[in-house]
Amino acid sequence: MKRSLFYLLMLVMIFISGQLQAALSWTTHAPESSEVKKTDGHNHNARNKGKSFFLHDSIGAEVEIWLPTLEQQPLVISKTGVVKVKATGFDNYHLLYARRQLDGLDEMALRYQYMRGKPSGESPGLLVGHSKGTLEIKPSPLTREHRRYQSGDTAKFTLSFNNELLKLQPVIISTSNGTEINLHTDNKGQLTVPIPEDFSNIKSGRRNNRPAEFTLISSITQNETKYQTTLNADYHVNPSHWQSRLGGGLTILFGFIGGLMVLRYVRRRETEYA
Amino acid sequence: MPNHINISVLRKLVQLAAFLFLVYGSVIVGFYSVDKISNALPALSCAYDTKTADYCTLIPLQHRMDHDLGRAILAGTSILTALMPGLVILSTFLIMFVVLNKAFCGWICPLGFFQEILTLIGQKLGLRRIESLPEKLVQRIRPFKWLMLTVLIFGLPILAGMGVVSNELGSPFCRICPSRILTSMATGDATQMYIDTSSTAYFILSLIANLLFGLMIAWGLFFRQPFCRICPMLALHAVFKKIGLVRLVKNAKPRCEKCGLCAKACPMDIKEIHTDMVHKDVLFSDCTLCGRCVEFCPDKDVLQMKYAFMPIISADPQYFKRRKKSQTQWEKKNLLGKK
Ligand code: SF4
Ligand code: SF4
Repeated sequence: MKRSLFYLLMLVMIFISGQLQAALSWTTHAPESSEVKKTDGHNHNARNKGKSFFLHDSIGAEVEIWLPTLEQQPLVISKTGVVKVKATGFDNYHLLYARRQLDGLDEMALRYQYMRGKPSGESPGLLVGHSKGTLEIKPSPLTREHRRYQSGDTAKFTLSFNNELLKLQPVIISTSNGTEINLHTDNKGQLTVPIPEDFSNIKSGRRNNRPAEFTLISSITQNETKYQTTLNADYHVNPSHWQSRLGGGLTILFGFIGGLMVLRYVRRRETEYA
Repeated sequence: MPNHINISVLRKLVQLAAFLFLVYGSVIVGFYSVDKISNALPALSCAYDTKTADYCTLIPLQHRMDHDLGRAILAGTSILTALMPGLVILSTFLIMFVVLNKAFCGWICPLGFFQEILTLIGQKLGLRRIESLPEKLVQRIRPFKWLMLTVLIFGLPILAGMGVVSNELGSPFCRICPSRILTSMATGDATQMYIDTSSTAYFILSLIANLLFGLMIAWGLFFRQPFCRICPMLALHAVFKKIGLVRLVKNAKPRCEKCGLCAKACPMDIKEIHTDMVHKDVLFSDCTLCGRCVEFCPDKDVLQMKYAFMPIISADPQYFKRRKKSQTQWEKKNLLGKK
């Protein structure tokens, strides 16, 4: 009995993993065959320019970019799944939104993308909080400016169905570095994601390591319709690989002791000359 | 008014409330509130603090100089267009600044408050305090805040954007700012206390940051506001001090010449508050509008803090007597070696 249950679980896992390859999902890592270069708009010097993305399994999907103000602009997908996003002129997070609704299938792919431009006057809370579809994965919270998802950290998300939080809902995290982990939301509908430490050939310095991507995928079937949503985001090598906390603490201590010694020296000189 | 309630106590309460709000406030007002409130606060509340409710204007200013202005100069595109985002930030800063002027330092800044607490701890431990720094030294230190502003907030970020210096120098002040270490540590996050070995520039900047932080703590125990004296925000405030609604006014009387209690009370060692017998406007570049000079002035209405021409705090002999008495009582009760 136990053994058959185990095989059943394995089958389900394999089925779900297989699905991930085929799921409607965003990525910046375009396949070699596509016309987009890996770095199009994603390197440090191209912050204010447009960016290119790739949408997996894109046939029949409608694609939009949502501005921080919730304004929605349609995007065009090339035959190979490449989506070119022009600079919108606004700063802060935008949403790359893809949706495909077929008979018995409702799929959604989301990616929150930081773009540069003039301040929009809106907080990302508006974009994140706004309902986008039936089954939704929301960052809770979305990393703010000066912060990013990092390997070895944990990130929090919520999952909701028709705006109701989903308890114990299965989710898979899969990374562009090849890691796949099965997770589920807790009793409150919160998902805690351990971002894998799965970078190899780590170089010193954030800019010397290309970010990887993780994709969260979850699905639920109700009234003979399968709802499936993916959320894609970048994550970076944890800077603890080239930043020493102990060194930091010790140099603060040196500064402190140095400060006391300077004061002592000044005082001694004062008394000598007095 | 009871003896123990005075402007300094009131100011400490405001500073404590501001500290709690700015350092931990997102827990109450929401994680994204910072994008709503200003993003351009005229005080050193740090953007690297994950719980901050609002953060200082110096970080977006450095980014704009690097990402917009520097790159526009390099690409030969319109400087005016490139300046726009920076001007939006500066305008937000100015709207807030008009309301409180330099009082953002004396009443709101978390780092300013922390340095005052350090001095209190030093007093409490009975450490031999330096009441005022020598005038010559004060004069020598003063230009440093302008150097910090021009080099670290504008110069290096623009040059980094132009590719003249390494882009690791795109936000050099943030890399050495003590508020980054202080406020993130205050939320239990030690990730900002590091030595970065990824490049020479980052190594040097992280080393300076930590040494400066340690130095500030050591010196803060013995004399008042060690970091404020070189703070680029103090210089930025000084540029716009004329437009703020809070003012410091002096109606000098001949007695002033022999007194000098105001200068003794001043945490920034502004001797001119005592020696200037000519100007009515005595809001000097180093002033933090803490109001201590007004509190410790024994002559009726000689020093006044005004809000849009209306006096809000005025020197008063009765208040002065009470204030002195409460200070002596506090010192007797609280300071080691004074009992
Ligand atoms: S001068 Fe002092 S109080 Fe003012 S912003 Fe700088 S650290 Fe804060
Ligand atoms: S001049 Fe007066 S208000 Fe200004 S810092 Fe000194 S004591 Fe405070």
